[in-house]
Amino acid sequence: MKKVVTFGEILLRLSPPSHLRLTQATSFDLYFGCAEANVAASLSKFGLPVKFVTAVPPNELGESSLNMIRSFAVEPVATIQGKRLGIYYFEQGASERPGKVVYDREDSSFSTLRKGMIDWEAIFNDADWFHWSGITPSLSLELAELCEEALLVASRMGLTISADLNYRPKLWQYGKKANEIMPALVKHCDLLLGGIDESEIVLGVPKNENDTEDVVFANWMKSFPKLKNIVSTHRMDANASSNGISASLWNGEILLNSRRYNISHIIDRIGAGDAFMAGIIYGLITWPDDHQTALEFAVAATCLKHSISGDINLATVNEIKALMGGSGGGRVSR
Amino acid sequence: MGKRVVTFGEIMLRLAPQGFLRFSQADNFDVVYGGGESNVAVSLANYGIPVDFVTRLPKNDIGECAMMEMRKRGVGVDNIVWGGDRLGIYFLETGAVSRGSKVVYDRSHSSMSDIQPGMINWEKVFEGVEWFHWTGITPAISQSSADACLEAVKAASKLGVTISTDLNYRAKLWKYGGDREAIMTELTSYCDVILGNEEDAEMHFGIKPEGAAVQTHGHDVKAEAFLSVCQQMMEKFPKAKKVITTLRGSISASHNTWAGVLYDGKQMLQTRQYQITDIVDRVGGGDSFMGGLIYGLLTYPEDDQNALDFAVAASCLKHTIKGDANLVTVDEVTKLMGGDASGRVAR
Repeated sequence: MKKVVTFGEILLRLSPPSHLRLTQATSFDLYFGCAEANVAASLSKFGLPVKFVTAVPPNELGESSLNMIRSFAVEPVATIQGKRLGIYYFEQGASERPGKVVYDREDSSFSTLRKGMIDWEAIFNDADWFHWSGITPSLSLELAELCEEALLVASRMGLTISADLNYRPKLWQYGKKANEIMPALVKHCDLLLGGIDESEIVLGVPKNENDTEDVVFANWMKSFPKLKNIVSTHRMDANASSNGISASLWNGEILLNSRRYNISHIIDRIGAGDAFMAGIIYGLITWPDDHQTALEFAVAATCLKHSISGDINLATVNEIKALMGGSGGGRVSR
Repeated sequence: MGKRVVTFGEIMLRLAPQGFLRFSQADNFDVVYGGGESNVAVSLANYGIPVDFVTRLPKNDIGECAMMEMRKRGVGVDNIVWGGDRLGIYFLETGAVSRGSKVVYDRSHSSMSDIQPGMINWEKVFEGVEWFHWTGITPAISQSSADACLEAVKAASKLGVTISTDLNYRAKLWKYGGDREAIMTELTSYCDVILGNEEDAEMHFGIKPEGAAVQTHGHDVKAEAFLSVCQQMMEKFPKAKKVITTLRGSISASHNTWAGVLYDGKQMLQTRQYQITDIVDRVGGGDSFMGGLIYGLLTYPEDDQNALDFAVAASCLKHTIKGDANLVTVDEVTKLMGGDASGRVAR
């Protein structure tokens, strides 16, 4: 089986235990994660062979982050350079108090990557899928260029390419707007995860106020003709502890909708989008002619992620299938 | 109340695996906020000395945590300035027996390292202040913090404030290309009280002991060897009234001996040697010595021996306390000075 390659910055996440605020914490739980590593780990757990391309510093934290990747049987392809691993502090929300992120990722090892430093041909040699996200090009112009370099090689070598738009307003601080950079990257994609609110701000595709999903996604396909599928998650934000979640898929002809799950007691919502992304990649690879099943798998995967601490979806294919099959009761399985 | 003290430097987030876990085993970090100069401030506050800590912190939750820690310990925070991007971090793996402790710094581009001269109104800070303390760490982190430190030292000197320093040489810092010897020589020339060991003296000023070799690895740490270092320091820095050094004998990461000497230009005072057989946390050992010394010199101005004995006993107790700061009282220190090292439960 050929490999899936994901590419991005792995970060040290520091979180107060349980629901303590940052200002109350006397210890931080330690996780390593990022959108693209979360996707890699989840896919590997589903049984696909995966490589994760990143950069980490030559110190114990860089080493620990790679050890975490290895523990999921993901093969790290890491450039060891620079001074520090990027960090984000995450305070878990509850009920009416939203979660909070404090980024501390400037001058990280990953931010020192440049075009020409990574041998993409060698990396893609045994791969047939490449996944990236909108976080990498949001960090610096140099990383946007590096992302494009990877996409050009992946395109030329005939890999299937997916992206999660992952728009983060706190990033994009280097003087370019998302819609000045992202269109040139998204045009290489076969599969895109995004929401209609991102149409203008990320893709530069105009959208009228009352345009429905099928109209907007049809416009995206006109702008980016290589796209075959567009997926979107819908979060009915009740509050920080309780969400409804469902998803849709536009394949150029029809809009498929998934069933809706009510997640009444969220344990950790970080990485929920990544869990969905991994689910849809696995789903489309496994059921290429059954988009509805692929979509149901992805939404069930993200539903389970909300019940798991940390960035990574530690759910197996069987657990997800059980939930898809209607086993939503949370009974102890024995 | 008189005798107000100001310390100036960088406070950091310390992230340490619990107990004696190595970095590669950790799945959580104990959180402590500390730094050389803030640790001295906490010591002094514990001894009842009014003290203010001056630094620059980022305006986010992590910066606020650092400030709250100072406030909690009774250290004044009104002169802290806010700005910049991040709180510096150091990761600490605690050693044991033959495995030394390990520090990974992640403090580049911290709010404090980006401080510029002019950001702090030193004239206002030093109103009613008797003593100013800085350390060799501040000029080691960036040129602009070295400049800010010089600005502080000059203002203190002009206002007649007593100035102390802990030379605190750190091989992993001084990466910005500044002329270490020239910078440290200028800053130290304003000081009345200088704390430093033989490594600090050699690395900062090229001063080496003449005659006797300094033995730091066994039981027998020779105080006499430091006399030559102290004398050379006094010659180089004529404003200095006292040069002090701690005598750490490192038998292992868990067992150290600990003593101190003070040279006042005429005579060399020594303390007894403590055996610290089961170290809990040695980070901040030197800072607790400095805190004890400033307290001692302010409290027993005519009795340097007593001040020195207090400093050594205080820092001996620090080695039993988790975290950067020495959380002990004057009574506990004086009890140990008085010879009660039994460690019996006080009840």
